[in-house]
Amino acid sequence: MKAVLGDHTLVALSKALDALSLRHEVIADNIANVNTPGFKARRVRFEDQLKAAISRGDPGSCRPVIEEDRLAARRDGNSVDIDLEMARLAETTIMYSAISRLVSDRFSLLKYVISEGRR
Amino acid sequence: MDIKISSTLQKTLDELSRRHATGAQATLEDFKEMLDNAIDTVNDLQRNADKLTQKLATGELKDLHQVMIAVEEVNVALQLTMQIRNKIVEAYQEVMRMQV
Amino acid sequence: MGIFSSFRISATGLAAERLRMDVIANNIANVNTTRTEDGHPYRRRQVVFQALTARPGSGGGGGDRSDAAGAGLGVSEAPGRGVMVAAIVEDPSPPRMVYDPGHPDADARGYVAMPNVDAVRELVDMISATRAYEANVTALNAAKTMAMRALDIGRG
Repeated sequence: MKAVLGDHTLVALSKALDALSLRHEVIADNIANVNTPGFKARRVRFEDQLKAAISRGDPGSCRPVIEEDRLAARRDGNSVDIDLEMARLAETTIMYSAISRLVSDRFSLLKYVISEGRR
Repeated sequence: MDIKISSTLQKTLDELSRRHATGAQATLEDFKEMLDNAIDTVNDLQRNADKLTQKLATGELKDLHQVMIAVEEVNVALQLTMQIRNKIVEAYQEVMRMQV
Repeated sequence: MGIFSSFRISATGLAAERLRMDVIANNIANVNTTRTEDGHPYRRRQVVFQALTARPGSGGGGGDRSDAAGAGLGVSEAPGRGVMVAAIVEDPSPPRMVYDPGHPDADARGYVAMPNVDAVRELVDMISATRAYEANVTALNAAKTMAMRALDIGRG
Protein backbone atom coordinates (compact mmCIF):
# COMPACT_ATOMS: atom_id res chain seq x y z
CA MET A 1 0.00 0.00 0.00
CA LYS A 2 1.49 3.26 -1.10
CA ALA A 3 1.56 6.37 1.03
CA VAL A 4 -0.50 8.76 -1.07
CA LEU A 5 0.07 12.37 -0.06
CA GLY A 6 3.14 11.14 1.84
CA ASP A 7 1.02 10.15 4.80
CA HIS A 8 2.64 7.14 6.44
CA THR A 9 0.46 7.35 9.50
CA LEU A 10 -2.59 6.84 7.30
CA VAL A 11 -1.07 3.67 5.85
CA ALA A 12 -0.29 2.38 9.33
CA LEU A 13 -3.85 3.10 10.49
CA SER A 14 -5.24 1.39 7.41
CA LYS A 15 -3.17 -1.73 8.07
CA ALA A 16 -4.33 -1.67 11.68
CA LEU A 17 -7.96 -1.62 10.52
CA ASP A 18 -7.27 -4.57 8.18
CA ALA A 19 -5.75 -6.54 11.04
CA LEU A 20 -8.50 -5.66 13.51
CA SER A 21 -11.09 -6.77 10.98
CA LEU A 22 -9.26 -10.07 10.63
CA ARG A 23 -9.03 -10.36 14.40
CA HIS A 24 -12.79 -9.92 14.62
CA GLU A 25 -13.31 -12.66 12.05
CA VAL A 26 -11.18 -15.09 14.05
CA ILE A 27 -12.99 -14.20 17.29
CA ALA A 28 -16.36 -14.72 15.57
CA ASP A 29 -15.10 -18.12 14.40
CA ASN A 30 -13.97 -19.02 17.94
CA ILE A 31 -17.38 -18.03 19.30
CA ALA A 32 -19.26 -19.96 16.61
CA ASN A 33 -17.19 -23.04 17.50
CA VAL A 34 -17.43 -22.75 21.28
CA ASN A 35 -19.17 -26.15 21.40
CA THR A 36 -17.28 -27.95 18.64
CA PRO A 37 -15.31 -30.91 20.00
CA GLY A 38 -11.58 -30.69 19.33
CA PHE A 39 -11.71 -27.06 18.20
CA LYS A 40 -8.72 -24.98 19.23
CA ALA A 41 -9.22 -21.25 19.73
CA ARG A 42 -7.11 -18.98 17.51
CA ARG A 43 -6.02 -15.40 17.69
CA VAL A 44 -4.52 -12.72 15.46
CA ARG A 45 -1.28 -10.94 16.22
CA PHE A 46 -0.28 -7.80 14.39
CA GLU A 47 0.80 -5.09 16.84
CA ASP A 48 4.45 -6.12 16.97
CA GLN A 49 4.59 -6.62 13.22
CA LEU A 50 3.09 -3.17 12.66
CA LYS A 51 5.53 -1.56 15.06
CA ALA A 52 8.45 -3.17 13.23
CA ALA A 53 7.06 -2.18 9.84
CA ILE A 54 6.67 1.43 10.96
CA SER A 55 10.25 1.62 12.18
CA ARG A 56 11.36 0.17 8.83
CA GLY A 57 9.58 3.11 7.27
CA ASP A 58 7.18 0.83 5.39
CA PRO A 59 4.00 0.32 7.40
CA GLY A 60 2.35 -1.29 4.37
CA SER A 61 4.59 -4.33 4.75
CA CYS A 62 2.95 -5.39 7.99
CA ARG A 63 1.59 -8.97 7.84
CA PRO A 64 -0.76 -10.14 10.59
CA VAL A 65 -0.38 -13.68 11.86
CA ILE A 66 -3.12 -16.15 12.78
CA GLU A 67 -2.02 -18.66 15.36
CA GLU A 68 -3.44 -21.05 17.86
CA ASP A 69 -4.02 -19.61 21.30
CA ARG A 70 -2.23 -21.54 24.03
CA LEU A 71 -5.23 -22.28 26.19
CA ALA A 72 -6.09 -25.36 28.20
CA ALA A 73 -8.64 -27.57 26.48
CA ARG A 74 -11.74 -28.99 28.08
CA ARG A 75 -12.61 -32.66 28.15
CA ASP A 76 -13.93 -32.64 24.57
CA GLY A 77 -10.72 -31.02 23.32
CA ASN A 78 -12.29 -27.59 22.82
CA SER A 79 -10.11 -24.72 24.08
CA VAL A 80 -12.44 -21.77 23.51
CA ASP A 81 -12.92 -19.61 26.60
CA ILE A 82 -16.15 -17.78 25.87
CA ASP A 83 -15.52 -15.04 28.45
CA LEU A 84 -12.08 -14.34 27.03
CA GLU A 85 -13.53 -14.16 23.54
CA MET A 86 -16.26 -11.75 24.62
CA ALA A 87 -13.67 -9.49 26.26
CA ARG A 88 -11.53 -9.59 23.13
CA LEU A 89 -14.57 -8.87 21.03
CA ALA A 90 -15.34 -5.72 22.99
CA GLU A 91 -11.75 -4.53 22.82
CA THR A 92 -11.47 -5.17 19.10
CA THR A 93 -14.72 -3.37 18.35
CA ILE A 94 -13.66 -0.28 20.29
CA MET A 95 -10.18 -0.22 18.78
CA TYR A 96 -11.66 -0.52 15.32
CA SER A 97 -14.10 2.30 16.02
CA ALA A 98 -11.37 4.51 17.45
CA ILE A 99 -8.92 4.03 14.60
CA SER A 100 -11.70 4.32 12.07
CA ARG A 101 -12.61 7.67 13.65
CA LEU A 102 -8.98 8.79 13.52
CA VAL A 103 -8.76 7.93 9.83
CA SER A 104 -11.93 9.87 9.21
CA ASP A 105 -10.65 12.88 11.14
CA ARG A 106 -7.43 12.77 9.18
CA PHE A 107 -9.28 13.11 5.92
CA SER A 108 -11.39 15.89 7.36
CA LEU A 109 -8.23 17.72 8.35
CA LEU A 110 -6.73 17.37 4.89
CA LYS A 111 -9.94 18.56 3.27
CA TYR A 112 -10.05 21.54 5.60
CA VAL A 113 -6.50 22.54 4.83
CA ILE A 114 -7.11 22.12 1.11
CA SER A 115 -10.09 24.46 1.28
CA GLU A 116 -7.79 26.92 3.11
CA GLY A 117 -10.17 27.20 5.96
CA ARG A 118 -12.65 29.18 3.92
CA ARG A 119 -16.21 27.98 3.92
CA MET B 1 -0.71 21.58 25.46
CA ASP B 2 -3.31 24.09 26.48
CA ILE B 3 -0.65 26.37 27.85
CA LYS B 4 1.60 25.99 24.85
CA ILE B 5 -0.92 26.71 22.10
CA SER B 6 -2.72 29.54 23.75
CA SER B 7 0.44 31.19 25.00
CA THR B 8 2.04 31.12 21.57
CA LEU B 9 -1.03 32.44 19.84
CA GLN B 10 -1.62 34.83 22.68
CA LYS B 11 1.89 36.17 22.17
CA THR B 12 1.14 36.60 18.47
CA LEU B 13 -2.04 38.52 19.19
CA ASP B 14 -0.34 40.57 21.88
CA GLU B 15 2.37 41.52 19.42
CA LEU B 16 -0.20 42.57 16.85
CA SER B 17 -2.08 44.80 19.28
CA ARG B 18 1.09 46.20 20.79
CA ARG B 19 2.40 47.28 17.46
CA HIS B 20 -0.96 48.73 16.56
CA ALA B 21 -1.01 50.67 19.82
CA THR B 22 2.46 52.13 19.45
CA GLY B 23 1.74 53.00 15.83
CA ALA B 24 4.86 51.22 14.71
CA GLN B 25 5.01 50.34 11.07
CA ALA B 26 4.09 46.74 10.45
CA THR B 27 6.59 45.20 8.14
CA LEU B 28 6.32 42.10 6.03
CA GLU B 29 8.86 40.40 8.29
CA ASP B 30 6.68 40.88 11.36
CA PHE B 31 3.73 39.24 9.70
CA LYS B 32 5.84 36.37 8.47
CA GLU B 33 7.31 35.79 11.90
CA MET B 34 3.92 35.66 13.58
CA LEU B 35 2.61 33.27 10.99
CA ASP B 36 5.66 31.00 11.30
CA ASN B 37 5.26 30.78 15.05
CA ALA B 38 1.66 29.73 14.76
CA ILE B 39 2.43 27.18 12.07
CA ASP B 40 5.31 25.71 14.05
CA THR B 41 3.04 25.17 17.00
CA VAL B 42 0.52 23.34 14.87
CA ASN B 43 3.28 21.20 13.33
CA ASP B 44 4.50 20.16 16.76
CA LEU B 45 1.01 19.25 17.83
CA GLN B 46 0.48 17.28 14.61
CA ARG B 47 3.71 15.37 15.12
CA ASN B 48 2.78 14.54 18.68
CA ALA B 49 -0.70 13.43 17.67
CA ASP B 50 0.79 11.25 14.91
CA LYS B 51 3.12 9.57 17.35
CA LEU B 52 0.31 8.86 19.80
CA THR B 53 -1.94 7.59 16.99
CA GLN B 54 0.74 5.17 15.83
CA LYS B 55 1.28 4.02 19.39
CA LEU B 56 -2.41 3.29 19.64
CA ALA B 57 -2.38 1.23 16.44
CA THR B 58 0.63 -0.82 17.59
CA GLY B 59 -0.87 -1.44 21.01
CA GLU B 60 1.85 0.44 22.92
CA LEU B 61 -0.65 2.96 24.19
CA LYS B 62 -3.68 1.73 26.06
CA ASP B 63 -5.16 5.12 26.93
CA LEU B 64 -7.61 5.79 24.15
CA HIS B 65 -8.57 9.18 25.53
CA GLN B 66 -5.00 10.49 25.29
CA VAL B 67 -4.97 9.98 21.57
CA MET B 68 -8.48 11.32 21.00
CA ILE B 69 -7.68 14.44 23.01
CA ALA B 70 -4.37 15.00 21.23
CA VAL B 71 -6.03 14.66 17.83
CA GLU B 72 -8.82 17.04 18.74
CA GLU B 73 -6.23 19.54 19.96
CA VAL B 74 -4.56 19.45 16.58
CA ASN B 75 -7.90 19.98 14.84
CA VAL B 76 -8.77 22.97 16.96
CA ALA B 77 -5.24 24.43 16.83
CA LEU B 78 -5.20 24.09 13.08
CA GLN B 79 -8.55 25.79 12.68
CA LEU B 80 -7.48 28.57 15.02
CA THR B 81 -4.23 29.05 13.13
CA MET B 82 -6.03 29.08 9.81
CA GLN B 83 -8.37 31.80 11.00
CA ILE B 84 -5.45 33.81 12.36
CA ARG B 85 -3.60 33.32 9.12
CA ASN B 86 -6.62 34.60 7.21
CA LYS B 87 -6.84 37.62 9.49
CA ILE B 88 -3.13 38.33 9.17
CA VAL B 89 -3.32 38.11 5.38
CA GLU B 90 -6.33 40.43 5.39
CA ALA B 91 -4.52 42.89 7.67
CA TYR B 92 -1.43 42.76 5.45
CA GLN B 93 -3.48 43.37 2.34
CA GLU B 94 -5.16 46.30 4.03
CA VAL B 95 -1.83 47.74 5.05
CA MET B 96 -0.50 47.37 1.53
CA ARG B 97 -3.55 49.17 0.22
CA MET B 98 -2.88 52.10 2.56
CA GLN B 99 0.70 52.67 1.53
CA VAL B 100 0.01 54.49 -1.65
CA MET C 1 -14.39 -9.22 2.67
CA GLY C 2 -13.41 -9.31 6.34
CA ILE C 3 -16.51 -7.83 7.88
CA PHE C 4 -18.99 -9.71 5.70
CA SER C 5 -17.20 -12.96 6.46
CA SER C 6 -17.73 -12.16 10.12
CA PHE C 7 -21.46 -11.88 9.55
CA ARG C 8 -21.53 -15.26 7.84
CA ILE C 9 -19.43 -16.90 10.54
CA SER C 10 -21.68 -15.63 13.32
CA ALA C 11 -24.70 -16.71 11.30
CA THR C 12 -23.41 -20.28 11.19
CA GLY C 13 -22.97 -20.17 14.95
CA LEU C 14 -26.52 -18.93 15.43
CA ALA C 15 -27.93 -21.59 13.12
CA ALA C 16 -25.96 -24.40 14.75
CA GLU C 17 -26.89 -23.46 18.31
CA ARG C 18 -30.52 -22.92 17.28
CA LEU C 19 -30.63 -26.42 15.79
CA ARG C 20 -29.02 -27.76 18.95
CA MET C 21 -31.71 -26.05 21.04
CA ASP C 22 -34.37 -27.65 18.86
CA VAL C 23 -32.87 -31.09 19.36
CA ILE C 24 -32.64 -30.56 23.12
CA ALA C 25 -36.24 -29.30 23.25
CA ASN C 26 -37.32 -32.41 21.38
CA ASN C 27 -35.49 -34.61 23.87
CA ILE C 28 -37.21 -32.87 26.77
CA ALA C 29 -40.60 -33.10 25.10
CA ASN C 30 -40.12 -36.85 24.65
CA VAL C 31 -38.74 -37.66 28.08
CA ASN C 32 -41.65 -40.03 28.72
CA THR C 33 -42.33 -41.32 25.21
CA THR C 34 -42.41 -45.10 25.39
CA ARG C 35 -43.75 -45.62 21.87
CA THR C 36 -42.23 -44.30 18.68
CA GLU C 37 -42.88 -45.32 15.08
CA ASP C 38 -40.36 -48.14 15.20
CA GLY C 39 -41.86 -49.54 18.39
CA HIS C 40 -38.96 -48.63 20.65
CA PRO C 41 -39.00 -46.03 23.37
CA TYR C 42 -37.71 -42.60 22.28
CA ARG C 43 -33.94 -42.45 22.02
CA ARG C 44 -32.09 -39.27 23.00
CA ARG C 45 -30.65 -37.36 20.10
CA GLN C 46 -27.66 -35.07 20.07
CA VAL C 47 -25.93 -32.84 17.53
CA VAL C 48 -22.38 -33.25 16.27
CA PHE C 49 -20.68 -29.92 15.61
CA GLN C 50 -17.92 -29.55 13.07
CA ALA C 51 -15.79 -26.51 12.32
CA LEU C 52 -15.90 -25.13 8.79
CA THR C 53 -12.58 -24.18 7.29
CA ALA C 54 -11.52 -22.34 4.16
CA ARG C 55 -9.54 -25.28 2.83
CA PRO C 56 -11.17 -26.88 -0.21
CA GLY C 57 -12.63 -30.30 0.30
CA SER C 58 -12.69 -30.04 4.07
CA GLY C 59 -15.98 -28.17 4.46
CA GLY C 60 -18.31 -31.13 4.37
CA GLY C 61 -16.01 -34.04 5.03
CA GLY C 62 -13.42 -34.57 7.67
CA GLY C 63 -12.38 -31.00 8.38
CA ASP C 64 -11.74 -31.73 11.99
CA ARG C 65 -10.01 -28.85 13.70
CA SER C 66 -7.77 -31.04 15.81
CA ASP C 67 -5.97 -32.31 12.70
CA ALA C 68 -5.22 -28.79 11.60
CA ALA C 69 -4.08 -27.92 15.11
CA GLY C 70 -1.66 -30.82 15.24
CA ALA C 71 -0.09 -30.03 11.90
CA GLY C 72 -0.25 -26.28 11.68
CA LEU C 73 0.62 -24.90 15.08
CA GLY C 74 1.55 -21.25 14.84
CA VAL C 75 1.24 -21.15 11.06
CA SER C 76 -0.34 -18.22 9.26
CA GLU C 77 -3.50 -19.40 7.55
CA ALA C 78 -6.94 -18.24 6.59
CA PRO C 79 -9.53 -17.62 9.29
CA GLY C 80 -12.17 -20.28 9.80
CA ARG C 81 -15.63 -20.22 8.27
CA GLY C 82 -17.70 -20.96 11.37
CA VAL C 83 -19.45 -24.13 12.41
CA MET C 84 -21.99 -26.58 11.05
CA VAL C 85 -24.01 -29.46 12.41
CA ALA C 86 -22.37 -32.47 10.78
CA ALA C 87 -24.98 -34.91 11.99
CA ILE C 88 -27.79 -35.49 14.44
CA VAL C 89 -27.14 -38.86 16.02
CA GLU C 90 -29.01 -41.08 18.42
CA ASP C 91 -27.55 -41.70 21.83
CA PRO C 92 -26.77 -45.42 21.87
CA SER C 93 -27.05 -45.81 25.66
CA PRO C 94 -29.69 -48.27 26.80
CA PRO C 95 -33.15 -47.13 27.91
CA ARG C 96 -33.97 -46.59 31.60
CA MET C 97 -35.84 -49.53 33.02
CA VAL C 98 -38.51 -48.36 35.43
CA TYR C 99 -40.65 -50.71 37.50
CA ASP C 100 -44.28 -49.92 36.70
CA PRO C 101 -46.42 -53.06 36.19
CA GLY C 102 -49.58 -51.02 35.55
CA HIS C 103 -48.09 -49.30 32.52
CA PRO C 104 -49.54 -50.40 29.15
CA ASP C 105 -46.01 -50.87 27.81
CA ALA C 106 -44.71 -52.86 30.78
CA ASP C 107 -42.88 -56.07 29.87
CA ALA C 108 -43.44 -59.52 31.40
CA ARG C 109 -41.54 -58.61 34.56
CA GLY C 110 -43.38 -55.32 35.02
CA TYR C 111 -40.61 -53.06 33.80
CA VAL C 112 -41.13 -50.26 31.30
CA ALA C 113 -38.34 -49.17 28.97
CA MET C 114 -38.21 -45.38 29.32
CA PRO C 115 -36.26 -43.04 27.06
CA ASN C 116 -32.57 -42.56 27.88
CA VAL C 117 -33.20 -38.84 28.39
CA ASP C 118 -32.00 -37.15 31.57
CA ALA C 119 -34.08 -33.98 31.90
CA VAL C 120 -31.52 -32.28 34.14
CA ARG C 121 -28.71 -32.85 31.69
CA GLU C 122 -30.88 -31.59 28.85
CA LEU C 123 -31.58 -28.38 30.75
CA VAL C 124 -27.88 -27.83 31.37
CA ASP C 125 -27.22 -28.36 27.67
CA MET C 126 -30.01 -25.93 26.88
CA ILE C 127 -28.36 -23.26 29.03
CA SER C 128 -25.04 -23.86 27.30
CA ALA C 129 -26.68 -23.59 23.88
CA THR C 130 -28.51 -20.42 24.88
CA ARG C 131 -25.34 -18.80 26.16
CA ALA C 132 -23.48 -19.70 22.99
CA TYR C 133 -26.35 -18.35 20.92
CA GLU C 134 -26.24 -15.05 22.80
CA ALA C 135 -22.48 -14.83 22.37
CA ASN C 136 -22.93 -15.21 18.62
CA VAL C 137 -25.53 -12.45 18.67
CA THR C 138 -23.04 -10.16 20.43
CA ALA C 139 -20.39 -10.99 17.84
CA LEU C 140 -22.83 -10.21 15.06
CA ASN C 141 -23.74 -6.86 16.60
CA ALA C 142 -20.09 -5.99 17.05
CA ALA C 143 -19.47 -6.71 13.37
CA LYS C 144 -22.39 -4.47 12.49
CA THR C 145 -20.99 -1.65 14.67
CA MET C 146 -17.61 -1.93 12.99
CA ALA C 147 -19.11 -1.91 9.51
CA MET C 148 -21.20 1.17 10.30
CA ARG C 149 -18.09 2.86 11.67
CA ALA C 150 -16.19 2.16 8.49
CA LEU C 151 -19.00 3.75 6.52
CA ASP C 152 -18.39 6.98 8.43
CA ILE C 153 -14.86 7.39 7.12
CA GLY C 154 -14.71 10.48 4.96
CA ARG C 155 -18.07 11.86 6.06
CA GLY C 156 -17.33 15.44 7.03
